[in-house]
Amino acid sequence: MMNVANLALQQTPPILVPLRFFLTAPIFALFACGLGLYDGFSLFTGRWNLEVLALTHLITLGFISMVMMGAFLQLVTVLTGICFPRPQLMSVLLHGFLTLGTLCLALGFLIPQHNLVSMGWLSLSVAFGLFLLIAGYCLVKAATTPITIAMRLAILSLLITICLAIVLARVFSHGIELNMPEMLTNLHLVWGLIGWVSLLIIGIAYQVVPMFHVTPHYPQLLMKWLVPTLFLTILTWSIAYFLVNLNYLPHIVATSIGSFIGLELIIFALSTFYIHRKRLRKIPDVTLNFWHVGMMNLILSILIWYAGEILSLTAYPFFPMLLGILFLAGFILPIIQGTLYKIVPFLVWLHLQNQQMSTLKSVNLIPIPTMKQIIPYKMANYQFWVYLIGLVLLIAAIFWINLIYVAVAMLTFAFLFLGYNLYRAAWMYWVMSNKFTQ
Amino acid sequence: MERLLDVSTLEPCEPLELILAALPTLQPGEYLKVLHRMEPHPLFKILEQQGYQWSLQAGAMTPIELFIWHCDDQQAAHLVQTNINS
Repeated sequence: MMNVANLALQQTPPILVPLRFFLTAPIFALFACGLGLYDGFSLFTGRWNLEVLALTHLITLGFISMVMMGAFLQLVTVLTGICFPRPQLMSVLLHGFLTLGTLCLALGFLIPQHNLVSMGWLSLSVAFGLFLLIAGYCLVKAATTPITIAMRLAILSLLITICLAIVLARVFSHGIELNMPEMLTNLHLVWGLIGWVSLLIIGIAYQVVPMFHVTPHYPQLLMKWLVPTLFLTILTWSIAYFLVNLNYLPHIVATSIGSFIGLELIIFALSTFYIHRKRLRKIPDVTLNFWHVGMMNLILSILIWYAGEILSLTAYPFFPMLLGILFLAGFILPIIQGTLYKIVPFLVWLHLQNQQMSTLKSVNLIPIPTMKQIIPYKMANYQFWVYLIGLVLLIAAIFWINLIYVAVAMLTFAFLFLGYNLYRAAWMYWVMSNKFTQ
Repeated sequence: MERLLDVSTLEPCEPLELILAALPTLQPGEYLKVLHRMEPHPLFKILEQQGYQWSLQAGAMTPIELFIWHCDDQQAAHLVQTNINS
């Protein structure tokens, strides 16, 4: 049974190790919103539009991977009890190369400028290469649990995503004519969004949901088999999809295997709803709302994909846009925001508590702000509603383009609000931390 | 004298916050009985540093029952011992 008592909290790395990633992520989301505000209409002209590529990478690398990297560095240490060498230096290097690489890649797509794209993928290769080394160092030594299995397979999926990205970046930067860029892009998308991101979300959910939402654990059978089965299904689908594109197999084979990927993700979403229903303390919790929105959109995106395959809608330009928005903005982003609202106050509180214990005597104790004071419920709840309205408007904008600017404006406000809540928590940490050292 | 605190349905770090808030209000001869759903390891170092002793046992209502008293309070220590033995 995994709970907070099993965490090696004394092994927690310095707070800046994860926090620099969490504080940078909203800035990249705002860059993406800025792009939408600058030229919203062109974003819905098709998935191969360079502005869409720039925006997608600002979100997937600048927001999603930024937060996931920070969370991974924090969690891998406390879950496995294994510290990686020089955490501060490693975190600065990872953060620096990821930031530089994402900016160069997005700008390279926008201008468009091949040299910038090359610089972007080189910088990102260093960032992800270093990250893979650190993750490998910790995970090879770690005991095998459902969470570490999920982390290992997510890391393996990231490696595959990066390899595919390097091929695609070389195609773009050298203008190489490849027969199947769409196939490579789809493989890159699936390994990145379902392999790397979703497997890690599932692994983190095994720990975070029972701990912070005070629920029973996910069923043992699910924890043991879901992630390995999902990984193997993605692998089988990739091979089938590759053979379909070479005309060795009929299209239906890859679609049938792909439908199992959807089914497995639906099982995860339904299990999350199930254990949330059984939570011990049924009080309002904004992070729970974020998780529910995320899970509903995950199910919805899969059902729409099924419908699209059955009704032959996949060729329509709106279809990949709808799926992309539901999966990225509807599933992944709410889960990440909801988790940030738990992890950041917890880390601030934990580090202040540790600092107080190591620097002050019991008679001089200074009251530490509670988790609910570090990020007040009201502020997080307002931000949730602003984000939700922005999301609904964004989905509606696919069918009525005139809504795009209102939708992006709402999302800009939502990410500004998220940034405010996170920076306020960090500021509270510095103020209290300085009091201890005075 | 027993003071009861049920934190078994609270998320981290609320149990720790409530326990640390309750401890300074303990009167001589009083101990704190905490109903918890897990062993709160981060708490033990803090208790040690602040001059408290503790004892754990499996609970009837919740998985863990934690008893905390001031290390100088012999009366509270005796009461805890009696409670655990019974």
